[in-house]
Amino acid sequence: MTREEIIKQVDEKVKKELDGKISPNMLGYIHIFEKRKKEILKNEYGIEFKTLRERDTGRSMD
Amino acid sequence: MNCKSYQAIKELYEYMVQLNKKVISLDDIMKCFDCQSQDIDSIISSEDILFTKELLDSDDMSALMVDRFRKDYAQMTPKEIADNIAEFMKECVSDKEVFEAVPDASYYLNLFEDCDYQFKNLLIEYTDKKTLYEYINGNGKSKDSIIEFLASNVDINSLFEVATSITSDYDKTMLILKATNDRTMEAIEDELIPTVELMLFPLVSDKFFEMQITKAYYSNYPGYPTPENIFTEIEEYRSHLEKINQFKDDESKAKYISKIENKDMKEALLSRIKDKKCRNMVIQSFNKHVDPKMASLDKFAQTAIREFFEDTLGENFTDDKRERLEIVLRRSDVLFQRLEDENCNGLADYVLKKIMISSEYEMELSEYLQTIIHEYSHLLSNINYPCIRSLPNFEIEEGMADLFSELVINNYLEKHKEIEIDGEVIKYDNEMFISESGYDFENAWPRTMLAGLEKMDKIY
Repeated sequence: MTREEIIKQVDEKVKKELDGKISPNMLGYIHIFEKRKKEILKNEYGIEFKTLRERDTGRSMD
Repeated sequence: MNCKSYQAIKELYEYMVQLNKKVISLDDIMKCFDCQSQDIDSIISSEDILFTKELLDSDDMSALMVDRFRKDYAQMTPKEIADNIAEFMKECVSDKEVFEAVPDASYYLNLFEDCDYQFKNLLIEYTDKKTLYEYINGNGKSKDSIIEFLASNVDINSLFEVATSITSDYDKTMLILKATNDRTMEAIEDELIPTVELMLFPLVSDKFFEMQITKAYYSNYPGYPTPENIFTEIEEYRSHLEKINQFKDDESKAKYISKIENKDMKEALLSRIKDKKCRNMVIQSFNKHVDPKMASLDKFAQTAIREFFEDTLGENFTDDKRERLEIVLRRSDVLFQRLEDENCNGLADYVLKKIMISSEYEMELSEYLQTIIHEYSHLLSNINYPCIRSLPNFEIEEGMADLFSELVINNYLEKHKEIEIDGEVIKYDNEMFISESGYDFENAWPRTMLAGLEKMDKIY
């Protein structure tokens, strides 16, 4: 699997995990999502992923 | 000494040095010159022949040359000196002694932009730094070209020295922007960004120039202006500055600034006006784009935010605070569209000063209202972000934004009993709004801090 395919697969996994726990249309969802995504990518695939919080984008997401 | 005679003398000198025949007679020198060219008489004078002999007898050819040039220049008019130097540069003669003797570096620096890379490099090397910076700060003809060259060619650490030595904000900004523009991404990430961030950025004080540097820093993100647009805007701003400096009274300035469409320019130029009424005229002239689907919500959010500050700050809601609030409310665009990241529900762009609400999920009106006020909170707390480039702590920032939306909405409910937007009344349990978000942990921070202060009666 390519890095992009892994990331896509992890995105789906995180979505399922959070389903029913927090609504995706709630403020702050993106940060909970990304935190979990980072953990899985690191622990299960050894992939380093920078969350939005860790990147300086000049904007506040959510 | 003109270029042709210099070249003839230098050629002969170097030839003799090569042959190790420095001690020769005047007759031999004349014969050698005759061999160089048929019309040598028109190039070499009897004085030049004596000078050549002097050179060959000397151990320091360079010092003698400089001395000879200096004596020549002392007899010449400024135009004659400039023409003479131009001739050397046209013939690509770049020997140090030619330039060292010039009484004023501007004679050759004025021709800087027409030189090739190597020649430019030598001219910078030959000119002492103090003279070079005086030339730049004195608005020398080739100033822009020199700044561009320095930006691309000096090492990262020297950029700081250049930036601290030049005085105008415009020149500093061009130096920083061009330095970023001309370097590879790797160099920018490894060296330049930390340098700009830590050392160069604080050296610029004009708000608009600071904004342009910040925009350039983020120019890889979609929606941000390209470097070309950033440079175009800088020139436009400069021409506005020139015009504003011609006005003597605040009213004329305010009328002029009010007509400027660019909101960053308008905001930065506000600093040129002192009179309160005139400042207000400019602030009133801000316009914003609001998506029609968000128009009523935005209007309500603005009213509720204004009322909150009026009601809670009272006389502490001073003119300067009121102005800052009005600038944010009146200039920040509010868009409603699919966002780049589908997991993002709302976005506050500190640099471009806009709020974007995601159209990905259908939300309740109350949720949209919470989101829009939450995003306004981010814009308010980061009002100076483009000029200080310091992000607040994430937990405090998000917790505060949630708390702000709660306080604003509850203040409104307390006064008006209900919220009605476009005929729809928003109902809250127990007639009180408690924010709902994924920021439970973040919310704990400001509430804990404020609760402590409240107990000490320190909430004003």
